[in-house]
Amino acid sequence: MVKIGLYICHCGRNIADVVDVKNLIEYFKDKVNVVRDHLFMCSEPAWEMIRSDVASKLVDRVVIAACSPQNHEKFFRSALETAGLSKYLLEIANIREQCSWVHGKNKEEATEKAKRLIKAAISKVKTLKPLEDLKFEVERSVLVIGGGIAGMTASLDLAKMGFKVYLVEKEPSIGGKLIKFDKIFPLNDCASCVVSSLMAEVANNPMIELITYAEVEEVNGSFGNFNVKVRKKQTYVDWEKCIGCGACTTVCPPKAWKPNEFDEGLSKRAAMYIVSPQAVPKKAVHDPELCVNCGKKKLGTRRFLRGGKEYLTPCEKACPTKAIDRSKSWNPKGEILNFNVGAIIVATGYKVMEKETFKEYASHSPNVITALQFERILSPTGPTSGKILRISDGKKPKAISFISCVGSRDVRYHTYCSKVCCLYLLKQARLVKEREPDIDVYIHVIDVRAPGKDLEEYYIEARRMGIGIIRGKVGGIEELPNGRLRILGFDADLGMPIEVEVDLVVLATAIELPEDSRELARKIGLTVDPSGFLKEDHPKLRPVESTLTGIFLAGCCQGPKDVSETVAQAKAAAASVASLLNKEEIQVEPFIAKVNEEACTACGICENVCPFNAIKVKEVAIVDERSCKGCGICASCPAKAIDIQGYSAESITAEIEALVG
Amino acid sequence: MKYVVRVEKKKNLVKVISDLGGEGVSKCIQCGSCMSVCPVTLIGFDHPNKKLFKFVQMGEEEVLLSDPSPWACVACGRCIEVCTQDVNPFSVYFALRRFQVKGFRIHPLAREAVGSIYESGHAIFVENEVEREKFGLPKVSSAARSEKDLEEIREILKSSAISDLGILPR
Ligand code: SF4
Ligand code: SF4
Ligand code: SF4
Ligand code: SF4
Repeated sequence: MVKIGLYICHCGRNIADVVDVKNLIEYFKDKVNVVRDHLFMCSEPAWEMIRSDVASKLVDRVVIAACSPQNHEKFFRSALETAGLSKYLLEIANIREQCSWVHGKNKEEATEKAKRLIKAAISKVKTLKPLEDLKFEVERSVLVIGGGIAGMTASLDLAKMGFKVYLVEKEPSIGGKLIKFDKIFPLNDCASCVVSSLMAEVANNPMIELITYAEVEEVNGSFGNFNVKVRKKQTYVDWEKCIGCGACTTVCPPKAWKPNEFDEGLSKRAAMYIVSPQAVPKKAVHDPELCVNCGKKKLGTRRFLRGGKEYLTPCEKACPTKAIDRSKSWNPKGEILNFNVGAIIVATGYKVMEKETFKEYASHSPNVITALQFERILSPTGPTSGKILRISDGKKPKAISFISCVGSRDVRYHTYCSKVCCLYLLKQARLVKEREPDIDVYIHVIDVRAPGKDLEEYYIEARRMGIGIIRGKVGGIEELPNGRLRILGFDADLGMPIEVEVDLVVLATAIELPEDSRELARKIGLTVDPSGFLKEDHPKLRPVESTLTGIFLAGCCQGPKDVSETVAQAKAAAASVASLLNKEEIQVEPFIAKVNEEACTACGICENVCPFNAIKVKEVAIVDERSCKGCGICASCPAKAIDIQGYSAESITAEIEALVG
Repeated sequence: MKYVVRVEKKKNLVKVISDLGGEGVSKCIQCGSCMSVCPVTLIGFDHPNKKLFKFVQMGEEEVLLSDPSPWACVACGRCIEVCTQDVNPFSVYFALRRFQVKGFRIHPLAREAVGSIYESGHAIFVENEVEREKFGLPKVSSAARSEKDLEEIREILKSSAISDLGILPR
């Protein structure tokens, strides 16, 4: 006979204010071997109480009635393990999230529900078998997806700890968004000085394999040993030979130009281009969709002139190292790379909303731009070399208005705060004031949010510099016949509408998860939370872990954050990866599919339904322990030959019977 | 009512008011603390302290020239104590008085007050002697009761810059 111990938590007053703990103790005292309660079951004394009950063989099955297993299941398991019992002979009845928190108004019914949940847990725990963790060898390498400040920081930290890092970046160069900026708050230090050195370090670290202009196609396997498939796009330039001189980019004809992504569309780039002057690697890339095939020389062909001399396109001719060879045909699929890693850090960054969404802000006007575009105007590598000019006419504006919360804190778009806009608008406004004190500068805000070290001071200084802070959301912007813009705002300080006439408007459009990151999340099975960013496993206790074991998150793909927070999270992710991979072998929860070979008829249904390709049927079905995620789909086996360990048909039936009985 | 800001009509009023003794005005963050204690607010003036400071920051000259609230300041100093940014709102208020006077925009409230000082020695004159007696309070000994003191006050007024404004009773 099993001996069950039931441990009921008050959770301070979280549970006990609603659920009648005394009543539960009274009810269960004859149904189990030991019942105890505690103010905080997650405290050390309570842990010791459980451990000693198990160690003294008073109980050999444990039911905890407390909060969600998400929070402390591992902690409770350790009490069993320390006492020498299989740590999986434990069941948690969630009487906080599922009872007291949701049924606060109805104490009696909450107590009744708690009773049922506990009964179900008791029934289930009786059916549990001792299980051992699965043990796997560890691949001491890491995949980092995204070469912005987060990805670079994490890669460098891991490389310094001795891990092999594959850094995959979808653009031809690393550096992310930050390399586009001029200065960063709160010190107004040069962004390039912060990022460029990191880029160089990444490029020169022998432990980091930099794979740019590439995308992650597929991730299989599991924590400790993921199999990764990466597609490297064809650059059309032999990067071994290319020296990044840029000669090819200047001869490409204007017919083959398009808005330059690096300048946020404020300048043009050619079909042959190098992302930026600071690009790492500094290599040219050919954009076949833009190419006009000079001299009618299509990709994948060669052309000879009269006299037998070979015709070379301007780019081919210009290249001093003969790195461009257009006789190679275009392979839209690119090149596939395969490698294995022990863990993955996703650091794919953010995008900002397009201004076009906001018709009410005269977004058709070239003098209404996004804040990211204004970063390029401020930058010495940008289209105006850092001079504050309007792109539309090259003139210096007399007045500029900055509009915050465009698409953020607005139920029509995003309810969340994009978090960094207040401060970068203040930064941009301050940079304008420093360079051109006679330009009038206004910032329209719902309120200024500047929590954090040195940030409030940064804001106050902006006010003292004479920047007009106007509290109140802008309702609309009108384009006047003379091209100026009229801001229809509200000044909450004065309680009256305000109209401001300016020459340039900068919109702080909301930060979002880019579409391709969403696609990546879908491919590798990450969860997207209601705000649209990648979901962390637990907001407080596991903020850098994704919902999948062995995959971590860093930077803005998890939610808007500034540079300091991004770097902190990247370092935390790197440290978490290291703490897991720094072992000979890793232990993984044993909740995977188990085949009863006697019952299996080898029909093959399970092989077809498994979304992770974790089952192969030969004479009988065989589960690949590394790939199985324990999703349970294969348990639909018609011969009932598959059970998920820890969640067997017997356990679940017992649980359900207790719940409804 | 709305107000309209155009760079062409804007003046650097922060500098003007600072030069007149209201250096703190650029520091005001519109927290509202001063207004929560100021008698001028509590009695119901339209644009008491922080609102006028905002108009200064936004360069709205016209409102600042015509608003009567600086003249209602009783110099109690409560705003100075509660200001979160060390603005010294009281000084800014007095700078605004100077600003109006310099612009020859002397509000009737100010005329009345100066006139009253000239006539009686007090900006606000205590008339209800009977009531005081009822409560056993002593009579107010005021400049108004001493012709000599009153003469001196008038002399001071006449020899000050105020006499140039032509608002002293003749
Ligand atoms: S579905 Fe069941 S019976 Fe069919 S092959 Fe898989 S385990 Fe065997
Ligand atoms: S539980 Fe079954 S279906 Fe799910 S991953 Fe494992 S083998 Fe595949
Ligand atoms: S000193 Fe003047 S402005 Fe300040 S609280 Fe007193 S009355 Fe108001
Ligand atoms: S208390 Fe000071 S900072 Fe606050 S509104 Fe008044 S003057 Fe401005």
